[in-house]
Parts: sequence; C-alpha cells; structure tokens
Amino acid sequence: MLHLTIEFSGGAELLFGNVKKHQVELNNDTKWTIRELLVWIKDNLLKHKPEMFLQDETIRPGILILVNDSDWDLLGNLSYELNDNDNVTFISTLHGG
Amino acid sequence: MPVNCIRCNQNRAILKRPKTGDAMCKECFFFVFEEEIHKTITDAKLFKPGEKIGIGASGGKDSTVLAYVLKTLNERYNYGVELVLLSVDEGITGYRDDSLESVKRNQIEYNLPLKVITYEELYGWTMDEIVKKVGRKNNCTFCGVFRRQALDRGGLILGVNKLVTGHNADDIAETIFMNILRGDIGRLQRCTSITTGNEGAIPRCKPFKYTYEKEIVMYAYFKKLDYFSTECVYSPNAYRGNARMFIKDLEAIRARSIIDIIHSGEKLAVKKDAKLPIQGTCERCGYISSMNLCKACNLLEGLNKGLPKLGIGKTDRLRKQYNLSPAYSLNSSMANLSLKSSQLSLNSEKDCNCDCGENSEKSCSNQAKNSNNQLNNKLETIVDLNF
Amino acid sequence: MCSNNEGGLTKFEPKPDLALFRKCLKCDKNSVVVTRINDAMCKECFVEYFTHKFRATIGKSKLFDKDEVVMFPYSSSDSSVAMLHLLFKGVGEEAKKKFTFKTICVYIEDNYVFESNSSTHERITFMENVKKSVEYSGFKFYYSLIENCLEPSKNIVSDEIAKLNLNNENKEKFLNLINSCKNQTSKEELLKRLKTQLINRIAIELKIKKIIFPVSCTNLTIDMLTNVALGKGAHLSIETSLEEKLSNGLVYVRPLRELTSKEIAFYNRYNNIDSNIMAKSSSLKNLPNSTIYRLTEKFINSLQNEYPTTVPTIFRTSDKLTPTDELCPEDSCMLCELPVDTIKKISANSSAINDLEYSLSISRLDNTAIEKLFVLKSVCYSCSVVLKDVGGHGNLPQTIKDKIKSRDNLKDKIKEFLIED
Repeated sequence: MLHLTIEFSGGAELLFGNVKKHQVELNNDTKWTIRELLVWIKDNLLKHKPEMFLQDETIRPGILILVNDSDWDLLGNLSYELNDNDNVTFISTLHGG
Repeated sequence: MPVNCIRCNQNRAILKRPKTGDAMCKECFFFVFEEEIHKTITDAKLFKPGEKIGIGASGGKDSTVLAYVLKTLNERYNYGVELVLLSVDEGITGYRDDSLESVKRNQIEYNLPLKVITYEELYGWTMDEIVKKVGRKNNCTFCGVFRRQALDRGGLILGVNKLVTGHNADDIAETIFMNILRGDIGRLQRCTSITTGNEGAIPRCKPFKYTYEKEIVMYAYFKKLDYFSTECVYSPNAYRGNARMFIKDLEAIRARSIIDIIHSGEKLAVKKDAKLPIQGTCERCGYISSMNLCKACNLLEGLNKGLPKLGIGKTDRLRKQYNLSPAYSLNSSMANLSLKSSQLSLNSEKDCNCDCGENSEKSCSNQAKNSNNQLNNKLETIVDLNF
Repeated sequence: MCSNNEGGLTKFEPKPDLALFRKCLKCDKNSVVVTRINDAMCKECFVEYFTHKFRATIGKSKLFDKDEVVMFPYSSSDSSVAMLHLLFKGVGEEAKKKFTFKTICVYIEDNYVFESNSSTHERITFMENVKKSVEYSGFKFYYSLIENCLEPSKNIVSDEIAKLNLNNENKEKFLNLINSCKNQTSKEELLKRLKTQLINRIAIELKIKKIIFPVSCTNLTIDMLTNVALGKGAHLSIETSLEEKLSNGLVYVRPLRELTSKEIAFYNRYNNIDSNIMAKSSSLKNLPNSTIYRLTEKFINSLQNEYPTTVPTIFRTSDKLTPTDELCPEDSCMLCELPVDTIKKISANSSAINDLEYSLSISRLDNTAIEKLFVLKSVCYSCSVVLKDVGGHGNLPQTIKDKIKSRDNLKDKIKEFLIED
C-alpha cells in the first residue's frame, strides 16, 4: 500500500469538512501521480463543490501544491509520481472577506 | 408575462439594454441606438461638412451596422459628408472572399462606393501564402501588422479625410485590459481616445466607442442587415481570447460593466516620469516605429528572404545570425528623422525603390520597400488603432 | 472584426521531472520553491529573500519615523499573518537593524456577515482566539465591530471585548443593510468600503496617521483589475501605491506589495504559521463567477499559471500610474472617501459619463436619485453603482444618510438649474 499524508490549509480545508490532516492508503497496483491523486481526492475526500478544488482537470489556480514541503513546480506538477510516506499539502491562496 | 417598453410604455419590450438595464421595444431601441451614436459623433465633433469618410468595411457585423447607421444619420442630420467603403482583402480563402461578397451586397444596397485593397498588391503575399510559409502559429502577427498599413494606403488612394472603424465598446474595454496585462502604458493612455492621429496622418475615429457589441448584434438582427459572421479560418490568439472571455464573463455578472471599464480607462493617468517608447520612423518605409525598422518591413524581409521568424520574438539575435542590419537601437537620432515625407501619398508615384524597375503602384512583389516607402510617416494612429 | 492582434506574453512550460536536481539559485542546496518568474530556491535562502524584500521595502522608502505608531488592520488572512510575523521579527532580538516604529493591531470582527447567525458568545470566542494568535508579537491589540461603521458616535474601538457594544440589534441592522444589496458584487464592494471607512475612523480616534495594509502583489493585481471593471480607474494608483496620502490626512502604506501570494503561502508554511480559515470563508462560499472580484481572481490566477510574468507585469503597470488631474480633491465620495471622479472636462465632450447620462435620459423620463448624485459631486462613479444596488437607504450609516440629505436639500435649492426632472 502507498501511505500518504494529505494536508489542507489556507482555507482549502473548508472543502474537506474542516479536517486539515488526512492519512490515506492507496492501492499501489498502479502508479500514482498527482494527476490521479487529484481525481481520487475529488471522489473520496471532497465534501462538496468540486469546481472549488479542480478546474479543467487540474488544481484550481490559486491553490498551491507542495510535496514534502517542496513546490510541485519543481517536481513535474501533475506528472510527479508519488512515493510511500509522501506528504502532499494543498494551500489555498484565494482571498477571503 | 410580457414587459412593456420603458420609453413608449405601449409596445412590448424585445430587449433589455445592457448599459442601463432598460427594457425596450424594437422601434424605441432603433431610435435610441441611432441617437446615441449621433450624440457621440456630434459631441466628439467627428465629422465636418464636405469631408470624405472612409468606412473600414470587413463584411462583419460591426462595420456593416456602422455603414448602415452612418448612411442613415448622414441623411437624417445632414452631416454633409461623403461616405465610401474601404475593404482590405487579406487573401484568406473561405473567409475573406466570402465576407467581401457581403460587403459588395451592402455597397449595392446602400449605394456607397467601394474600394478593395489586397495584401497581394500591397505586399506581394496573400495570407494563404503566408500561412503556407510560416504555419499557423504566428500568422496573426503578420495579418495584424499588415492590416494597419493597408487601410491607410486604401484611404490615401481614395483621398479620404478620415477613416472610421467599427471598434465597439467591448473592443475598447478588452483593449484596456490587454494593455494593462501587457504593461503597455503608452497604448493604455491612447486606446480610449475616440479619434487618433490628428497630426498629419489620416485620423481614425470610432463612432461605436460607447456602443455595446450585444446591441450591435441585436440591431443587425432586427434590421435584418446582411453580414458575414464566420470566424477567421486561421487560429485565434489565446492571450487575447482570454481577455475577451473575461469581458464576456464580466458582462454576465454585471451587464453594464463595459461602459464602467471605459470610464476607468478614460480616467487613467500615467506618471510624468514613466518611460514611454520613443516614437521614431522606420528607416526603410518612413512608417511610425520605435525601432529602426518597422514591424511590417521586418516581417516582409523575413518572408522574402525565407526567414519567416524575423520580426517575431527575438528578432535581433536572428538578424545577427544572418548578418542583417539590426532592427532595434536606442539611437536617439531616430527621433530626429525628418517628417517631410508626411505629405506623400500614393498619387505622387515614384519608381519602386527595390530596383525592379516597376512603378510601385503596380505589383513589385519582392521588396518591403515597395509596400511601405511612400506611406505617410506620421501614421501613429495605425499602430494604435489596432491597439 | 479580427481581434487577433499582437501576441501576449511568453508561455511558461515547466520542464518536468528535473525535480530534485534543481539547485538553489543562491547556494548549493536542493531547491524547494520556485518564485518570481522561474527562480528556484532552498528553504533558508527563500525565507531570507522574502524577509529581505519586506525590510527593504520599508527601509528604502523611509516610510516611518522613529517611535511613530502605525496601525495594522489585522484580518488573520494569509498576508495578515505573514506581515505580523515579519513585523515581530523586525523588532525581535535577532533582527540586525530593528524597526523603530511601533505597531498596533486592530481587528474588526465581521464574520457573521459570511457565517450566518453567529451568536454574541461565538463572536467573543472568535475575537479571543484571534487575540491569542497575535499575542506572541507583543503588539498592542484593539477590537472593533463591523457594525460600528453605522454609528456616528466615538468609542468604535477598544482594547477590551467587554467595552464593545456587542448586541444583536446593531448586528441585525448591519446585516439588513448588506443583505439589501441587489447583487453580490455590490454587496462585496459595500462591505469593503464600509470597512475601510471604519478603519479610517479608528485611526483618527486612536490619533494614528499611518495605516499599513497587508496587500500582496497578487492581491493588488486582482484589486487593480477589479477596480477597472468597477469603473474605479480614477482611483487605481491611490489604491495600489506603496504610500498614499489621503485628503483626510491619513497615509496608507502597503509594505507587502512586492511579494506574491504564493511567496506568502510558502513563507507561512515554512514558519509554521497559518491563516485563520474563518477569515476566508467567504472565498469558499462564493463560486468563481459569482462576483466581479471572484471572476477577476480566477482570471488572474489562471493567467498566472500559464504566463508567470502576468502578475509582475500588471504590478509594473500600476507603478506607472498616477491620480488623474480630473479629480476634485475637495469633494470626496460619501462611500469610498476618495476624490470624486465625475468632473466633466469641457474640452472633452465625449465621455463614458456623458454617454451613460444620455442613455438614461433618452430612454426614461425619470432617473433615480442616486444617478443624479453625479451632479452634486458627492459620490464617485463606481460607488454610485453600488449605492443604486442598496435596497433601503434607511439602513446606510448615519454619515452617508446625512450627506444624502444635505444633497437633497441642495438639490432643492438648485432645482431650477438642473435639466432633469
């Protein structure tokens, strides 16, 4: 199994029942990239309003993704292949009231 | 439940005006639509009696409605101007040839003279040929740059005092955003002017500056005007497309947005110490340019020498690589270039400068000079008008 | 008409999977963040760069005098928590050159506007929590309530929750006003402008001249385009510059304006500070296309993803702007308190305002009162749209009602000179 820690902050957690940290296990028969992970999150963790999280099959612009505290722009973005015990963090930079 | 017209309170309303939110019947809409354009024309003093006005006619909705409304208003209010249609044929099969058919039908219906000027005769290249050469990625750059000069040359041939174009309020709003996104402060300041290029060149005016695209379409629809509505067959520019979508989305949220954006644009002021590009003239054709060589000359040279990338992107490096003279320098002498060629027009024919021996009005097709050397060099407007 | 003129900016295509090989721009370590256009940095170098940029913005312009007290309207947003941390570090032991000005934080409680039915008890708990999250800085902390903007009296701010005028009546009154707005964009704008009015009044009551706003480069870019769309072009430079002196004597300072929201998010992450989600709840309730602000935010963020020069380019555009000389500094707008921009230049007869007025007069016989505010220069172009969308003017702040009333009186006096009616 692939063990991941998924974190939401900067307001993104509101889309996930206000839970900031999720420990998940994925069946690693197939490769997992961020692209597949986003779909999995949408289907399994997201509580409502998928358009607030995803847009055009990628993350909604304005939400940052970090893997083990590194910018996903350095890691090949959607095509980054996840490893066991990776920490994937989503930070919303979208502005509030 | 049908809504009555806010103005006459008798007929059933057929549209809600985006600018004011007013529900209006067809007849009242026609009236206010035309009256507002009349108001714009008189407020901005666009026309003087006796002037010859060239209408840039593409066959599309904007220019078709423009020709129709100007003809109507000229008769109704005795502007005393002579209207002529001026079309540019870029040479795009399945697009421009079809749209020109609709211009020709309008010419007959409105009884206005028509002049068609082709890229072929101006530059020696049709857009179809250019696309074959450069592919679909950069062809819009060529088309846009060439069109700027084409209308002016046509205008000179016809001897018009002014050119009017169908740029509407949506176009202006979009251009304001485009110039902010590009950081183009110079154009940002100029793009809201209703008339550009008063000093020597053929001035260009936009009588539809405050007219919403939506109303132009509605007007054409209810008046059953004959226009051509297919998009250009060559690929659109994504970046500008983004700005267009943004305007449309804004309009969906708040219908009046477009006039608000234009108000914003009119109230923008640039710091006095902000650096604006020095406007000089092209040393080859005399056209207004911030570089030694204007963009059209650059592009043409590239086409003619089989280096179609010239003039797109990193021109300087390419020019160096092929041992061509540099196109860009900050040489201040540019600004001192004589402006005396500004009185030149196509009527004063000269031999083509490209050594082909042809009279340049005829079809010397192998040199940039041909297309550009006699152009009025103070045509600042042209650069601006296509924003 | 063909609209395909001129290309845009250069598209950014990240090179995939070079990942962990990319070294920090400044040292030999592996990089963890991509910033600016395409600069990779390690954690330490990034935090240093970020801190330096903030300090340089403040230091370079000599914005504050020694011992000057500046007011920081703290909202617990990302940029708020980052700026608090930066200010705290700036006066801390390890700071090489300490900030010599004094910061006080003011928190304006307005969550019930987004979180329906938060009780007085919940509001108190919330304010206590905000205070707790700020306490580490040691800065003096004040509270205020958004509904205080309706009150003409003093005592709109306090350093003790107990002294606040917390009651349901005022809260309901404010909610009624906000909810009477006919559309979401005007609602957002009304709230923003009333909050700014309150901030100004608090500064005056606390006898503070300078207010520091934690506005990032990204926020500023979004605000700027939003303002253009709202017809607020005249105020663009006033609302985006580093330092802006207002006609009421206050000075707005925006020391975070050279840092992007991405940089702020990484800074917060690496310093283990988090924004308070309550402050952001509205952003997650409003769909991307629900208001002009939301739409602009989506537009900028999408462009920024594709073209990383988007935000820096717009930012540079803003830096080249200046207030137009067509403003009347002696007439400030009753809502946004900025100079009125509806003056008509006699030389330029054709203008958007003229066109709009003509469109209204030609299509109807009676114009609504607010549109005529132009005539008396008591409201700016953009705010006239907002006020038109407010349902009952009876709910407006007393100060605005007074102005509308005096305008009506004045209108009676000059009636014979008005073309309308």
